[in-house]
Amino acid sequence: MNSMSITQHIPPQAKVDSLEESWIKAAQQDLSAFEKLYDANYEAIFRYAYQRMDSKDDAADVTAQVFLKAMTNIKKYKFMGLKFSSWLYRIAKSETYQFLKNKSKSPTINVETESLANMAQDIDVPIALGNEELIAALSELNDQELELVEMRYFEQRNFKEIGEILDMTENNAKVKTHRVIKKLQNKQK
Amino acid sequence: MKRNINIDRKPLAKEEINATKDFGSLASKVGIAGSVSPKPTGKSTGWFAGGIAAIAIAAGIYVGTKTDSEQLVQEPETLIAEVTDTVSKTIFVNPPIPEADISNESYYVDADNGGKIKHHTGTEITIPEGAFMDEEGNIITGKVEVQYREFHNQTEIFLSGIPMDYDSAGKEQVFESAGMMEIRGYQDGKRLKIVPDKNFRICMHSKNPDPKFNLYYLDEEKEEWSYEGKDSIDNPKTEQGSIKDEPIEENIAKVIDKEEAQTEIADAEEVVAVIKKEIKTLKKESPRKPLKANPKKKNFTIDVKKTEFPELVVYAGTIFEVVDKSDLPEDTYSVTWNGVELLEKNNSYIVQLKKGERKEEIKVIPVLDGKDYDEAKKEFDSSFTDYIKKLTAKKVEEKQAEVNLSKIKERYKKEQEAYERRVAIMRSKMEFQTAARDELKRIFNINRFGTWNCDSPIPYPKGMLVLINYEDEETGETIEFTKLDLVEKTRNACFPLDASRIGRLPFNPKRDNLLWGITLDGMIAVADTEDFKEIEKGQEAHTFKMKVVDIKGKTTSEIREIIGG
Repeated sequence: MNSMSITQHIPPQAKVDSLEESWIKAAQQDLSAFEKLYDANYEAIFRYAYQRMDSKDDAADVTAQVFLKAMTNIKKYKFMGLKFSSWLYRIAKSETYQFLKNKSKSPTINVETESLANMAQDIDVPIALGNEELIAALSELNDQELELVEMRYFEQRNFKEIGEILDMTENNAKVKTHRVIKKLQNKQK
Repeated sequence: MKRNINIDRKPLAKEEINATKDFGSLASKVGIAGSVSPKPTGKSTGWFAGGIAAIAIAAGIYVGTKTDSEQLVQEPETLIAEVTDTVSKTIFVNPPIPEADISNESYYVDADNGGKIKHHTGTEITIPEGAFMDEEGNIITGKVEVQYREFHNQTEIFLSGIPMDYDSAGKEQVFESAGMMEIRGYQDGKRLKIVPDKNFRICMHSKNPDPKFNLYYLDEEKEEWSYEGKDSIDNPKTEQGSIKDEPIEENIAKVIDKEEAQTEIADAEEVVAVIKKEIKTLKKESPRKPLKANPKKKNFTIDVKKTEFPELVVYAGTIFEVVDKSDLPEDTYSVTWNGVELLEKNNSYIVQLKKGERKEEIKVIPVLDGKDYDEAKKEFDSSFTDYIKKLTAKKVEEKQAEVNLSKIKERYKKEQEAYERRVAIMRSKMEFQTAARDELKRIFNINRFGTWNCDSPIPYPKGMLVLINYEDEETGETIEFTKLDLVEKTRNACFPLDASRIGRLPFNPKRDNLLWGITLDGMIAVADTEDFKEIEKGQEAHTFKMKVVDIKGKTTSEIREIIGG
């Protein structure tokens, strides 16, 4: 007689989320269990900080401070109602800004030519015009506008994630990014 | 803002990033036992160390010069205590602008004998003998430092960064405070504890005599407030009763309406003026007594043809008696004048006679004679009686109006005097109450160092819920906050809002509301009561145009003045 076993199919993302959830619960009980969350998110947070500054050491300091704050506030996390990584990005955003301010350093825009080309295509600007004008226009954006551009074009994040990190709806992130695109278009005319 | 631009920077490999990971060091900083492993070399830890030193000094903790990574490595045990202290300062108690945090005052006490500290606000702290011990429970002798600070208004609460939220059976509330204080003990830079059963007696200055407040202690390990019972209130002047802190004049103006008084007086004055005018007109039109012609004086009559001078018919038969015979030319009677006019000047009459370019003016008195006089006299007598009657009535009316006016004036004068007396009495009572408040003390005992608060939990305001956004009133740019509080002027509390969200703001439109935010670059942003008044009933969304101010280097009272708290 043939036998067949049936198991429930769990999508990979759901597995990650539920695993992360169990790590969070464990860390809320015992801070030494935070290490798994640290390992899982370290690289992403480091890259986020490094994208906005020049020095690798500075990015490491900011990342350490982000996780220090996350550890000391992990008990409060359940009340935030957003993805753990988005919560970390929010802390990272604030810590990066504070670090640069404390050190009297200017933020850095790290641009890859390829990302810039994609962006130029979206803005409907001929790439032949050269990157300089576009870069000059980028440096004139305000903090939130630049954050949207960095996340969308230089970090290739989707609007859902951008919305979570910047605490706005997906649609709102789309609308705001579109406005920045329009603004850049106008500056190129 | 100036920004550096890098194009096509060499990307970091995963391994390079992982090489900077150091969970052990992080764990040691949050005080996880057995995991102290400071990094020996390589990665810069200067920022952490600098941050620790700066914050610890702000809190008045003596950490000496342990500000570089080398010394941190040499003294790992000390590091744990200091970092843990820093974490509680920077994370749980988080002054939004460290430079503007409420400063401590240091007092020095002989631990063996105890003593009494008198703070500049009037607070008295009684310390029993032998009341200090170290972390291990050893009794401390000799000189100890007691650091103390108080928080009495919303500005001080806001700037302290002390969390004032209170979860009461799952209900989010905040503390309304009748006075909060923080006290710490140190010897040689090390934190001390209070010996069990050697409670400190705190007679804390307060401005609020309300007995509804309880005593709470801020448990920094559990990160929550713990209920510690009730304080007692020492208010030597309570018999005066409580007077609301409202402007006295406004309060009493409800009884006497100055505008109404002025209107009533003005109306009465107008009545008097109208009657006087009527009397004047009446007198002007009073019947004139006919004068009988004087046979000894020269006179003349005017003989006119009705067809040629119809306007002069009225003078037909009138005898004009010449006042000064020299005025009368000799040929008056013989000339045929082609123009005659009767003028009235200064209650006397002038007959003007014209012929060609010749013009003669003769001062005259119209008189009557014979039958005309008798009839005129009769008519005069009759109309004069009527006139007198009318005049008398008007005079009576005038008198009554004047009496009425003076009565109104007198009434308001008395009311004004009574008002001024009431103002004086109330002012005196308020001064007394203010003085009493200065003497008001909330009394309680403490058995732990830390933050103690005479509080009453209150719910978040209700009334309106508006979707909000914030803009800098000067630049029009959207503002992002690291901290955002709603403040009601009449309640000594700050209602923290989720600064990272653009959401709905609950507030009570009947109260004077303020919004205080700390921007990402450490400035204070303020929306004042007028901004809230712009929000109309039923309005869905509102953008606050906030005033953004740099408060660094300003005193707490200067900041309070700027932000209106």
